[in-house]
Amino acid sequence: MSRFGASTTPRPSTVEDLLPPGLLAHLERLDIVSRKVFSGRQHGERRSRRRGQSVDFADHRPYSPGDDLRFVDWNIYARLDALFLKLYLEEEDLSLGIAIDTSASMDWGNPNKLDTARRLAMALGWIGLCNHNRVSVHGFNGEGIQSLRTLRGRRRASELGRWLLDLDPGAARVPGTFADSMKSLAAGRRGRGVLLVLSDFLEGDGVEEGLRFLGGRGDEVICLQLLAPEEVDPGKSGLTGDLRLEDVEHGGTVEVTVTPSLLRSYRQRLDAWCGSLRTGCTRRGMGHLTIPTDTDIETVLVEMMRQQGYIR
Amino acid sequence: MNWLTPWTGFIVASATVPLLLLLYFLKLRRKTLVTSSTLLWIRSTEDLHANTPFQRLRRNLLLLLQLLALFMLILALMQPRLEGIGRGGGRTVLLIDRSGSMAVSDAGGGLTRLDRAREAAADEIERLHAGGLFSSSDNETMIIAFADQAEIVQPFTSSRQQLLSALDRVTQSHGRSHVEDALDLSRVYSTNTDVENSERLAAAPASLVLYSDGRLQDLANQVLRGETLVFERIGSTQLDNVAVAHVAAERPFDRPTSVEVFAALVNFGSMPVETDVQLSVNGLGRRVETVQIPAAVEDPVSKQGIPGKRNLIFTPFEQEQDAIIEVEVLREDALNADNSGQLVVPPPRQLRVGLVTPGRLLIQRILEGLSLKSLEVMSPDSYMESLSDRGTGDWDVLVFDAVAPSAMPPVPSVFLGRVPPSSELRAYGEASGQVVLHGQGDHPVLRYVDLDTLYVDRALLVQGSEAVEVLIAGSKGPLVQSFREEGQEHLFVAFDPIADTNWPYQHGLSVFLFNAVELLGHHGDALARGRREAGEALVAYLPVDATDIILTTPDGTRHDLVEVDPRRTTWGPIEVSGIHTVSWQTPSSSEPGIWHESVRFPVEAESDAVVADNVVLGRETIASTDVDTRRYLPLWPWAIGMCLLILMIEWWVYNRKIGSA
Repeated sequence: MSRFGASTTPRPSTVEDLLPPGLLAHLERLDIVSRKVFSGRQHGERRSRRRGQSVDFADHRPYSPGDDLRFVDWNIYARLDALFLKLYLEEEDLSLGIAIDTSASMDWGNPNKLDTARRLAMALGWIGLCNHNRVSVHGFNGEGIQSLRTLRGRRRASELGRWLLDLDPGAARVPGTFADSMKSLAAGRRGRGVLLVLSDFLEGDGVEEGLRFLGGRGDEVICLQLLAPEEVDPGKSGLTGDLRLEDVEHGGTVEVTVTPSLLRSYRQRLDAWCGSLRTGCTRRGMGHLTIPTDTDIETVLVEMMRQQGYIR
Repeated sequence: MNWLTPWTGFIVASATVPLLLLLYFLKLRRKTLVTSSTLLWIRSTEDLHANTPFQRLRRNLLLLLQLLALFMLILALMQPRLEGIGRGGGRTVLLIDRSGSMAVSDAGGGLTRLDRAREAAADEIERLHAGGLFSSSDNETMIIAFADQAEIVQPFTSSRQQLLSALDRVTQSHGRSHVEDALDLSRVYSTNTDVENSERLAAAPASLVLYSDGRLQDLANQVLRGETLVFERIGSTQLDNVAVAHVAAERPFDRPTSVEVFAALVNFGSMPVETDVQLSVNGLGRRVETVQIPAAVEDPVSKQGIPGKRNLIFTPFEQEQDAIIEVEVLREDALNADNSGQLVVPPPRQLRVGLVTPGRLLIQRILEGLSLKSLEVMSPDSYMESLSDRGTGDWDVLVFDAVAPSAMPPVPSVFLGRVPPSSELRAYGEASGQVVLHGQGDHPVLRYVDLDTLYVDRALLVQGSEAVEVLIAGSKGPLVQSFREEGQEHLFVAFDPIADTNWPYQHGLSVFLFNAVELLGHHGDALARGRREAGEALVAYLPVDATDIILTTPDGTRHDLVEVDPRRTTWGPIEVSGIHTVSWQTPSSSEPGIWHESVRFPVEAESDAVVADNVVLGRETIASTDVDTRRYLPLWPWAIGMCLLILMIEWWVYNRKIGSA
């Protein structure tokens, strides 16, 4: 078997490998953008639909017996001789979910897609922790879902990092589809918030169904599609000759003779596949971003995701 | 176009073409690569198959090109050839002329005509038997070399190696070219009669290929008997050749210890020649004369070339002992073999003469008047007794006076008035009342003989063969003739000089007998000539107890002559002109015996060596084919070239299809 698609860079073994210290300072200034307003559980740094204790005035309402007299607007009472309560917007925390596809197809490519997903998840998690969000991380593959308990506060970053380092890729030829994983993920997730799904989305028919499960919960879902350079442009990566290609995940094979026309056809197929995924996401109000794994993490966060409005 | 190795091509084709097709339809051995997902690849290949309707055709194009390349390769293995002249295979006889004229060096590059003939024959063998180890040719070829006689150098064989090595055994001869024996031999070996039907030939007559310059002596008598003959002309039409036609020597009558040498020079070229001519005695140069030889002219009637002639007489010189005299033209020309003539001059000696007579005294008295060592007078009966008792060693010359022996004598003889039992002469009547019409005045026998007053009352009418030379022609038939029988020269006088002529009353009879005895006895005072010619047999009469007889030819080759009768040692045919030396040992002498014989080049037959345009056999005129213009074009390099071109196209198509982006 050839080494085509094998990673030549070492796997991250420490938290610093996942998130270099130099990057921390840049990321501290960033925040995950949520286009929807979700109800939080604790006070946080985001506006909530709920009225609460905050400096942001929202409305007045007539006093009812039993209301907290501390919120009576006495200026109104003096002018109108009626009791009104001042209502303020509640600032709550955000639930940030990061779901990482750990199937065998992700453990492929140079740079490795799973390693890239780990680094990206660590960076996004760090952003969330820095902004007092509730960060939950999930790893899913055909065998099931692994989840890290909800983290809050930047002190939990090392815990997040260790969990990501311990995240094992799924074994090859394991039954189970993307849709099943998404269904399980949606069912096991509490509360609503921003859900980042890091995967290659190279599944046959299960992707649409999986997206439907995710969209049904009301989360703001952003699909980050990770593709290795070997997948983006296999001809440039040295794929040539008469080959039998074996699917690392399902074990299926296909015999190909790599020709310029085949490579053109593959490229068209890939573009069409990514396009249909983007269309499906847009239709469901989800975000979509294709990320080549040879792109720098900072570039992904500061330029690509910021440009898309997922980060500010 | 013919195929040298067709079966090789068929065998290779039957092995490789199915293999190629099998390989082509077998599944390709592919390299296995692990990829993240085959999803897009499956769809892409489906797209490709769906969107390229000529995909199968393109694959077949590669197969077609590969089959075409293989076909060209097989074609090359079959070794096709285009030939300028179509000659089929079967049985072929190569007739190679190795006569004296084939020694002419006008074939280019210093090669002689024989060298070129061998090369051309080798080319023909290559053509007929090429193909090497894989040759499936069933052609058979025989090689016959001929000069005066023909010999089979290689019987019919299909072995190319045997034929090529046989060509090396074809050596140069200085003999005349007689093709009759060669044609007979080829017919004997190539005409197989069906054993069940003797009237029918078992196989078609062989194809004959004649490599010659066309100067064939006996061409007029030959006809083709169903064979096909191709005449491969070798040689050029322009020739510069000067030859020594004759060399003669005599010891002057008044100075028997001196030798006077005569030479006849001929020029066959179209330009007059001035050249030096050297006289050598026993290998040492003695005289050099500068002579001018006129150019050859064309006979206006026969259109035959008449060579320019020049006679040369060297100043007499003292030579008491026997000597080998050589006259050599000091110039290089096309044929060097005829540029010299040799002669063996015996020492002055007195002759032993035997006279066989019925008892007449006149001839006896004339012979007694000569300065002889001995004269033995015999009756016919006593001659026969002496012959059976003593052999041939007792006489140098025999004179038969109006008697004829029952068998040809073993020594040179003069026959007066009776026809000898020779196959060369045939008597058919008598004629009376003749005078001399013509006499060869320059012949040594007739020197100082006055023939004008000779009257022959009665003479035998004798028809001589072509080899017989008429010395005196009478008004009704030849009167005196010279002929050779078993290597000996004889004179036949067709009349009885005593009974039938007025010769006894003239001094001419005495002079004639003197000349005849001296000539035939090789007396130093008489003219001595190189009498043998290349192609004839060499005969030496040696002592009966001679042993270890060795013949040394002019080129230095030694031949041990074993199981020969010393009294008549024969060897032949003589291959080259020049001095042949026979040496032997005898118990009575510690010194080896030495005997020389000069062999002359047949100048009149072989020196005029301008090639003939055609040969005429019976009614058929066979036009010549110039060997230099006949070439065979091998096609296998073209096939290989086409194969490479197709492979390049196939590679281009493959790269267009397979090449990486």
